[in-house]
Amino acid sequence: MIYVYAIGEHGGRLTAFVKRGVTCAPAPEPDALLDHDRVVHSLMGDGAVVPMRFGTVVGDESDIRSLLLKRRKELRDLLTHVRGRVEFGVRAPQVSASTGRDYMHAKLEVDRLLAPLAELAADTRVRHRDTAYLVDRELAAAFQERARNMKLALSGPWPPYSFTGALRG
Amino acid sequence: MTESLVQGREVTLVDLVDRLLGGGVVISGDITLAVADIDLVQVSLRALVATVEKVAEGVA
Repeated sequence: MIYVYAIGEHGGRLTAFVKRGVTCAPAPEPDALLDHDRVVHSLMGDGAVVPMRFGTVVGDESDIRSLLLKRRKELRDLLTHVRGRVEFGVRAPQVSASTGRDYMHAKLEVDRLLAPLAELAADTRVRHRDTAYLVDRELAAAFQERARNMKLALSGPWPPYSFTGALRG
Repeated sequence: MTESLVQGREVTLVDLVDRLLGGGVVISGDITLAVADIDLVQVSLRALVATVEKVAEGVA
């Protein structure tokens, strides 16, 4: 079986970055997770990549070829969106409130607090645990500095894990 | 703060788990996919970038 790390480009062509000879999908253990992240992060140094969900294994090459052919438009669009950009995660203060009205107020306050970060980002995604920001590489240092000055917990830079989606094979 | 797992990047294990299991492209449909299953045989995945092969050229 073939483990798929990411989809990117090689010589201008859509390319899957894979490891062959895998006997099964890996368990989500620290070493395997670090391996996936390390490989995808390194690939990102050579060009835009769309990371695959950890543990994606396909039966053979024809599966991945047909995916690239069928979904080339979506993949190209995703690559265009993430090109030259990295992801950061920022944990906003928890919103807790007893009433819906209080919650809305607290939520607006957090949005207002985070606005200076959103200004520097090309895209944002509210995630379960944090908010993901897609930031141009040239603005990455400024983004990190701003988050630190705001005393917010920051993670990254990451490959654009949170700016992908689902593809039908 | 927990110490970073990756040099030069702020990456903690909990952030890593969160992003890798909750992010990335998910393929659905006709492709034969195996899903991570802890019951299966352990595979060592210490791939270096040098060993990553490139397959599947699509249409440029």
